[in-house]
Amino acid sequence: MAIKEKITDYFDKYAQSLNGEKNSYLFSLRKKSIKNFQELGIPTLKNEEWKYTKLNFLNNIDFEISHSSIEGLPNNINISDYFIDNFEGDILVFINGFFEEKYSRIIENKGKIIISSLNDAKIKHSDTIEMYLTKYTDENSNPFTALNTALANDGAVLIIPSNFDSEVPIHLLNINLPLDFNLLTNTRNLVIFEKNATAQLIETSYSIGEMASFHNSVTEIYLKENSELHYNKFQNDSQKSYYIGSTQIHQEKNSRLFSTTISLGGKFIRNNLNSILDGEQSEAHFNGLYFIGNEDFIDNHTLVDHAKPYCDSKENYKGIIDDKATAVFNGKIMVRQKAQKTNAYQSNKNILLSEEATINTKPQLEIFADDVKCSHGATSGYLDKDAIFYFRSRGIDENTAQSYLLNSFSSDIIESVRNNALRDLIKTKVAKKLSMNDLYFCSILESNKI
Amino acid sequence: MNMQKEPINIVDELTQSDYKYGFVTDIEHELAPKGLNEDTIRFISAKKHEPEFMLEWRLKAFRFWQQMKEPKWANVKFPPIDYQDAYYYAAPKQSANKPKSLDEIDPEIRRTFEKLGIPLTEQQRLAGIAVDAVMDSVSVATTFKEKLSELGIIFCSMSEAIREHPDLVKKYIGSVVPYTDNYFAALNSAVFSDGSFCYIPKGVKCPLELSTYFRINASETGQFERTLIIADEGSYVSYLEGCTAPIRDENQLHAAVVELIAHKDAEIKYSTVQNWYPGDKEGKGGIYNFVTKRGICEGNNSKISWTQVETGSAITWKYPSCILKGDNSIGEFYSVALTNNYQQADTGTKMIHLGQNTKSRIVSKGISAGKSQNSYRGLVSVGKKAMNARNYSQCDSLLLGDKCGAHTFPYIEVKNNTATVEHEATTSKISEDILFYCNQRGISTEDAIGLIVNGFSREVLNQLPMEFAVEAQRLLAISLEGSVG
Amino acid sequence: MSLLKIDNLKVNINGKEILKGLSLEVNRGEIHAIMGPNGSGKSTLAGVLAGKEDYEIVEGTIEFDGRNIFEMSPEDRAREGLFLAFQYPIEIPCVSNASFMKTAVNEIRKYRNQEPLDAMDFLRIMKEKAKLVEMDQSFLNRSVNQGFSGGEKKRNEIFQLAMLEPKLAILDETDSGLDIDALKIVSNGVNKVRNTENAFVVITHYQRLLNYIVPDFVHVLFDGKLVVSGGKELAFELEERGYDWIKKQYNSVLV
Repeated sequence: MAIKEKITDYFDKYAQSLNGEKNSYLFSLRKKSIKNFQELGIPTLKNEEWKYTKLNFLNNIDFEISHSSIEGLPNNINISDYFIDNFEGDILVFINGFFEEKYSRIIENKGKIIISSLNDAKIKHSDTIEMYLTKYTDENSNPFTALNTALANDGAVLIIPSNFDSEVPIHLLNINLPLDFNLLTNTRNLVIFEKNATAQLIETSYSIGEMASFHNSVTEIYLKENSELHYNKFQNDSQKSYYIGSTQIHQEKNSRLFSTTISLGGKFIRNNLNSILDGEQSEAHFNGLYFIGNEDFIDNHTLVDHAKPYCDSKENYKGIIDDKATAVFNGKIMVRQKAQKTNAYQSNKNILLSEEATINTKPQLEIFADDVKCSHGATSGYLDKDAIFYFRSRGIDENTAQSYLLNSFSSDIIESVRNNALRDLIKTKVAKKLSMNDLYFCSILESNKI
Repeated sequence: MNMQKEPINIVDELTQSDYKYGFVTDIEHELAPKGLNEDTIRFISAKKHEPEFMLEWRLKAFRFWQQMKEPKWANVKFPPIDYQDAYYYAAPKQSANKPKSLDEIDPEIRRTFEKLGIPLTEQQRLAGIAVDAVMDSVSVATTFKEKLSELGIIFCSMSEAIREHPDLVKKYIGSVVPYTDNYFAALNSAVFSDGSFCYIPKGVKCPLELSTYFRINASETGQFERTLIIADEGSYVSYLEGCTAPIRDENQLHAAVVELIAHKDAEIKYSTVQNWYPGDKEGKGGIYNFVTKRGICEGNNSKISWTQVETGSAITWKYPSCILKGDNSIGEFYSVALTNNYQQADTGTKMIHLGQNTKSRIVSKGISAGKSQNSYRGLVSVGKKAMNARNYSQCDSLLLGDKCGAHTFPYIEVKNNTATVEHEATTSKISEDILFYCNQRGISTEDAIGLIVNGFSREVLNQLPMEFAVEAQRLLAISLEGSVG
Repeated sequence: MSLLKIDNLKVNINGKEILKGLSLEVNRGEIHAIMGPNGSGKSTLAGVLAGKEDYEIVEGTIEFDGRNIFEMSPEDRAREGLFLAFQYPIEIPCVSNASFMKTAVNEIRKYRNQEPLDAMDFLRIMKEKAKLVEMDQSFLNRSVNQGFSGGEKKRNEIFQLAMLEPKLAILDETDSGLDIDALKIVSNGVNKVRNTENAFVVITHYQRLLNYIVPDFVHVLFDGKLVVSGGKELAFELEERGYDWIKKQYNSVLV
């Protein structure tokens, strides 16, 4: 059965299985969304937003929709293997799209902020859900967001109270276990930062098993006045994993967003990162690094929507593409008519390492206000030949030279990751990819910015 | 008591300039019956005494067009076009038999072109420039023909080329822009009425600037001209085109196709100063300018350079492009697009790198004023085999006033790791602070804007031949002109 | 007849009183320094003289060379010979210093019914004047103030002053942000331009500048009025004692 019909079918059965919940607000959203999904269908390359993104896998792989939590883990699987080494913070574990308290670790922020699963929040925090869910998401244009709203079983609901200020991060860890069949999961996160709150959030997604996994994730974040979020996505998944993740952020006055997305692997990754700067003097920093090989595909779609005056946005994405991999960058800066005195900057730099690697990049500016400073730049190229020659003239072989240069190319993005443990993990993984064993030497190199 | 002018008024005044070419020439036209069907096409082909292959090609294109849908992807908005509610052929009556000498031209037509600054008489013709003058659907005069033919250069109207040089036409027409290419190219292929044809033989550097001046005069007509330029091995040609139309309340469609072919070591420089009627201050009337322009650098070391100054048309939709097929070939695109009032422009280029060591350069300057929308849309594509391809793109936008928009949509597709592609874009405005600073130095607001706009466009204007650069500079000033007290 | 005569000038910005009855008379050949604490209205005075918008003239008159200045547009004031060296010189993209000055000079000449300068003459004069402020030739081809350091921008203001040869130049905090070497260059430039026919109003915060551009009169602008006037020794006194004594004295009067 084609994926669209399968999903429709599943939804109908799901709807029939409901009793009291049928009258809930959430279900009314779901009904609207499944309709949206059916109308939008699976996008083709003719759809401008999916111009370079082939979604063939949805037709080629027969996915089952995850509908229940697991009964137990196979012996050879240890969830803590997927924790970040030396991580000091709270970890919320989701398996096959369902919250698993027994594998999670919630200590540090317990009692200080509201941490709940979507399943619990449906009842305990229904007012919050009614107030925020789908308020700014692209339900009407993105079928995967609509699909998520219709089907998401679970996810994290976080409410960071006013004046909360903590360096203790929260890690949302989703693990798909497609053990016997190909698995489709939908998770939905809702994060609300009250006035003056500061916190860190990390999202990772892994799949374990021989079968294919498709994780469709949506995170909605609301940053109230003067709040600050450090948001990291780290992706280093298997050749069996397909991932579409959308993060929709709404920023009020004076709020600050620092986002870094690092992708080191995965068969198919599509990251949508959208922020609406909807209050004066709010700022958004988007950083990203994609370093992929094999036949991996990664697509970073970002939108900075300047809706109010005096806001700043700064975007810096870098890519290293090897083997037969393909990367897409589509960055849009929208400056609305009201958003005078906007400062927006965007840069996308790419290095192709192999003859069969591809980059498609589309940095867009859409400007409707006149008193703005906007610039963008995009490059694609190979490493600086003179720099490599300089290394070689000092007796360092070309491969090593290349590793050093790539390490230095990516270092400013990696350094923008706030959490030490995560940053160390990324450094280690990148060094491994570059076959650089001498991490210490690397860090010296970085600090000297060779 | 404040002597300062409100900045918003300045912009308003600047946007209240008048179109100087909006007069109508009162001559009789011979028209094809209104509407579009196979008979219309047969009528046009018969009128032009075309050989059979041409009619067949037109009909194929027409049948293909009927299967197509009007594209919607550009960043422009306009009401649906009724393709049956227009004339597809309009010719000044007298020209059914094109005059043998320039002095035999209908004085009314001659006066029209004189008013437009294009003298057509043997005595007055522009030094150093050979002109093909096209009014509505037909070419009315071509100057310097004999001088050019001494060098083996063919420069004539497209209709004449189809009759006199059918082999060349058959070989090249549709070879760069096939009728299947897009909706408006298909329509053009079916109904094109005239245009210029130009062939530069091997090793010849064309000593004159070749130029075509397009004039729409008749009402309710579309203009569909087709230009074909072939530069054979080692040759060089610089070609200019200019366009104007009368002021009319209706929207008129102009859907042209231009094809350039540069063989080994050849160079084609193609310059456009486009000043079709842009519509009035309320956005009423004006030309829909939907044009397909494409050149192929067929041979090694060939070069194609597009330069355009776009100030006219209600809607402009065009992307002069280069297919860089030959090794070491070079493509260039220099553009200034100015939009005012309710004009919309979606313009840019495509640079398709196929050969090795190919180079391209894009310099696009968009100026938006009034309530206009100005978009740059460009593609730089580097194919798998395009070793060491290089591209540099620069897109700058200048905004006047806070009701206009500037948009940039660059697409970069790279499939070769030895390629270097760089794209940069900036947006700036002429702020009140800048205008006051200039005023304080004794420079009026109008002059200050002229100074900045010219400085902003200089890199592109420098690419134009001298006479056209001066004309273009004036045109930019006029398009923003108003009164400043 | 005095060159500049300001009489009982009252100016509001957004309804707030900034200048509250300021009077000043400047004759040819004189240099006046206007000093005062932050927010006393110094830059407002400069802006009003040059014709900047956003000011509401409530009362008073300004005559420049016998003409009512309020009846003149900013460019006509400039053409009549009133020059403002901006505190924050504006960056103008895409326009070179050379073409900017050529346009300005010829506009002013046209206003005075003089023939425009031809390119050769213009270049010669421009090079000459550039030397006054030790400006490199390459400056002339760069866009106006774009990418200039703070000191370079201020030097460029004085270069323009030298080019336009105004009757009255107002230097609005031209010294702020300048290191001592740049300050000397700027002052030197001003001193070479001054003569018995022109006049300067030097607005500054610090006495330091006045060591190099020696004023004939020093005025203290406080709370929208010139409250104390004196010779150059007043500047030293202000440097030593600060503005507090003035604040005390005049606040008490106000109370």
